[in-house]
Amino acid sequence: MSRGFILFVQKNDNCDYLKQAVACSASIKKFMPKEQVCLITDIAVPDQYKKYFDHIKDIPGNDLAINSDWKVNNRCKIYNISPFEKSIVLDVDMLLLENIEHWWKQLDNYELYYTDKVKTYRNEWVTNNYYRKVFVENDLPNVYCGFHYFKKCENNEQFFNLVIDIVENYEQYSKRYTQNKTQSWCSMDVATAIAIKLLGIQHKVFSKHSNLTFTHMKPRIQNYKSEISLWTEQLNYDFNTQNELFVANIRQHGLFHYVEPNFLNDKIMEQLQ
Amino acid sequence: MTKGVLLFAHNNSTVDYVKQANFCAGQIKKHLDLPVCLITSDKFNEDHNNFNHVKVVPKPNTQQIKTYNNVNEKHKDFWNNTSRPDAYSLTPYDETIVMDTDYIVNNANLNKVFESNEDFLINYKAQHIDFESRYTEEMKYVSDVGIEMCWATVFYFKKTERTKKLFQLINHIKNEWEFYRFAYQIGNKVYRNDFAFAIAIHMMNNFNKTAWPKQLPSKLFYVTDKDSIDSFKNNKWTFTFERGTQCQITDMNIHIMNKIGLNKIIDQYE
Repeated sequence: MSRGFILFVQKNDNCDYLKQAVACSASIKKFMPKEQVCLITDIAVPDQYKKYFDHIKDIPGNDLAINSDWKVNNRCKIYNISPFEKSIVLDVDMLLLENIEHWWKQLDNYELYYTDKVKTYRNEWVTNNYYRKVFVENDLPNVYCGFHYFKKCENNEQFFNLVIDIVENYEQYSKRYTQNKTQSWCSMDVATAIAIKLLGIQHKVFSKHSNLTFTHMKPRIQNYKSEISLWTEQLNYDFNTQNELFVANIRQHGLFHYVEPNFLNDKIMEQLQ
Repeated sequence: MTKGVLLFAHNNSTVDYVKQANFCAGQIKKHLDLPVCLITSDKFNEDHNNFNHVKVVPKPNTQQIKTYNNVNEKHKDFWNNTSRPDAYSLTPYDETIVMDTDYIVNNANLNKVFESNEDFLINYKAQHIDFESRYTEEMKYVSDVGIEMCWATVFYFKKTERTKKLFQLINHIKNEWEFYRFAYQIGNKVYRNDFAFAIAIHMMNNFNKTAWPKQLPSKLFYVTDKDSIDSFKNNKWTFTFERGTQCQITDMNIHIMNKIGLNKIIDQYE
């Protein structure tokens, strides 16, 4: 069965997501050189970047993010675009920091896997709901799409078709399923959470015991006493020549969701390439 | 295997640590029935004391100033408790409990350390006995963005290659404190044993948190130097907290950070 990583980038005016995708793919290939990476994008990928991707696929159909600054809505189409039978999907502002071959074995037990808990850089489970009020108030599953896994199968076809429907008709779904607290813009996390709740598959897609998750660097969930808005300006970090990442001198492992675009400085890009 | 307790006491003009150590040793003998070794640079009463061994060492000359509070009273003085990283080389025992002289034993719980197979045990959390104080939450990490705190107030070690390396590393961190406090983003310039121990443990664990070392079998309870120490009688301590609440505890080990207040009680007790 073919397997690989999926990265999604849509052209936008705010951030160089393609550069992030290159870094993400380079980090995957540092630790897992044989792993296949597919980039789904509407950007004409420059020649110097093409070597980082084994597959480059266009985003098909109508642009679902035409009115959105944050170009993620079309991510709901990845199921049909993926060239792999088993896919791990990552946010592009992530780095892989070690070989995760054993994750594939664990993920084999699932048709569809999402994480509902993430970690701080101090390796603590995040308990702060600051960014998750829509989920808490509406009793939605606390899904993080930054890392997820799917197999090509009938159930997942149905699931992703539903996600597409929610994204296309977000206003109606939102009115019905996020009555207590509504988010005006459609995020993949909320759309996916509604789909999981509607199908009642929480018990199938989450694990209470699994460590398959990522380190999330959004500042309000790090248990700081002070208000830190940009962690990259407050914390020492170093990606050394052994490809080890230290944040505040704490070694990071697994998947690292750095969030802040300025994290990806020239030194880290050079080190990854 | 020999077992015992190691105490460090270096007096200054504000606190008679040797007197405190003698009281602390008396409580150890009463509840733990263990020999006590005092490490000091000061004079002690050779005829009347609770120590089994005394090692005289040169006075550490750190020039570090500490503020000693006794509720609203404030005194600034030199703080000389930097020889603790030498516990490995100074202890006469194979298995040692090291404790601050203001950690007062009031039960036999700590004897359980000798039943464990661990080579090092320490506390990661300290709990104010009012269970409300903000200090407990504030002292979770070495700094707001830093690693998890640990408390060198009381710890246990067995002499092994690993603990030898641990103490070597703690000494190195102490000697290169400026570098390590920068690396671990600790704002306070003053060297602190708790921080050096936390950093060394973090480094020994390859810059992560692991299951080593485990926690002591006794939770670290404390009162601060803003709390008043009212009395100690029949294993019962009476305190008045900063906010005015009075509290009594019996048969509990307690870290009494109000060193001046503690010494006043010791004077009455003796």
